[in-house]
Amino acid sequence: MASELLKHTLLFWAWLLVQVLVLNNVAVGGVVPQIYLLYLLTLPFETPKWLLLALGFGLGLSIDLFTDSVGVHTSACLWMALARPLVLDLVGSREGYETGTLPRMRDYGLVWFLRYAGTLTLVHHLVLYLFLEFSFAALGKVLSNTLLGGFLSMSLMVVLQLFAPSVKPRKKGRLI
Amino acid sequence: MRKLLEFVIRFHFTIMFLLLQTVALVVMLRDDEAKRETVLSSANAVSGYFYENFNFITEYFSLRAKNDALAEENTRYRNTYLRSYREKVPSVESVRDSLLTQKYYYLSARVINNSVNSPHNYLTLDKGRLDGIQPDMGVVSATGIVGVVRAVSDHYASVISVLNQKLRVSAKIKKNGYYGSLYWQGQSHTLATLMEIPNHVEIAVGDTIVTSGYSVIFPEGETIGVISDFRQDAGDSFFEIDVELSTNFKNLSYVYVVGNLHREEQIELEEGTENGQ
Repeated sequence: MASELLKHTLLFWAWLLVQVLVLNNVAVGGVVPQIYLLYLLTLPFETPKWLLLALGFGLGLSIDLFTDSVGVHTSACLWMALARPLVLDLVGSREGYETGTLPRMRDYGLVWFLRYAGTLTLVHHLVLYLFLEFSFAALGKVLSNTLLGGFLSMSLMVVLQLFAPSVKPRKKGRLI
Repeated sequence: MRKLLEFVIRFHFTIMFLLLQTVALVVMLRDDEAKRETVLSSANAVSGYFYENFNFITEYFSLRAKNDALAEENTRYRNTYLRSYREKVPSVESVRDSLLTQKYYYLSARVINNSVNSPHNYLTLDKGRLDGIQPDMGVVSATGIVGVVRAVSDHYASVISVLNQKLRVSAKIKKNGYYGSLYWQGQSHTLATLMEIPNHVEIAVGDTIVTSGYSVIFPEGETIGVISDFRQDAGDSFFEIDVELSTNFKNLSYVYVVGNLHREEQIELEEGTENGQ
């Protein structure tokens, strides 16, 4: 339990710093890929809902403090944390989720991950750019940024997921 | 009471979401550009620490370019150095000039965090309150204006960039003195817009735009950029002028923070005049 706590605290800081120190300096078409979402996306299935919200709030607020955008990333992460249990239900794999697995590409495949992470990334980005522009007049820009940003973030997340370490050795010799 | 408790337990997820979202919204809406809480800005000790140390590494990637820029700036100052001028009438002794008193002073600082991609961009500097930096000081680079200090902590300062839709800078056309207000529309990190110049004023592409010196923030005549294009809407009596910014915001490392020794005096006088009407 203590080691889990330590692991997740380290992960929290790692994603936060990678985002603010490295990725915030990378922009394609004026849009920054948001890779730190991977932290919230890959939290264990059993994570209590209130903890999801608390972690989303904490991570979003930390990003905001680094980028002088008070409340913007916080709100985006909150909406994402709100939607996560719902989306997990919607894109549920046929056999349900196995204990000991994580919601990530390595465990449930590319197509599942694209549907799961894609939906949540769009939710996050839509709220993010809506709050960042803070006007419905700029709706066109909000939507185009959401789509471009979503595409960039997802591409990067998929690539990073290829290098994800396995937590437990996977069951072998499964009958097909 | 029990029903209420049951309700809270049953919908704790939604209730918690609404509470936290409200907190985020309140902080966001109460966020005053002019006086932001230092804790809520990138000038806070934690992000300042990380930005500073990371900058220590990344700085090495552009040392050559920065050296070139500094050398160029030094050359410019050497050219205005008093010793570089020979007196035209050798017999006259130069006297110490007592007619001028200092009004502005400059502090150098290093940019440790910078963004150009948001509609509201900010920079973080490695100097803060203990180094003499205060909110509302102007920030300029060797090539032009950069922004205005917005929040300071002991060792760091957060600067609202010219590339921020919330900042207005009082600017004038250098050749004829007509002034207007300059702001960023968010299109590109090289372009800002100058408004309120009446359409009878003669302007041309390539004219230099400088600070007006009417506010207490920037000295008069700091370079902002040059006119790259201008339009005039039908029925409108003002130009909309595109200004190509002379500061390269993608490549900022050393900047100067401008202090105004007469700041309090001017503000006091102006406020007194306004209230006394």
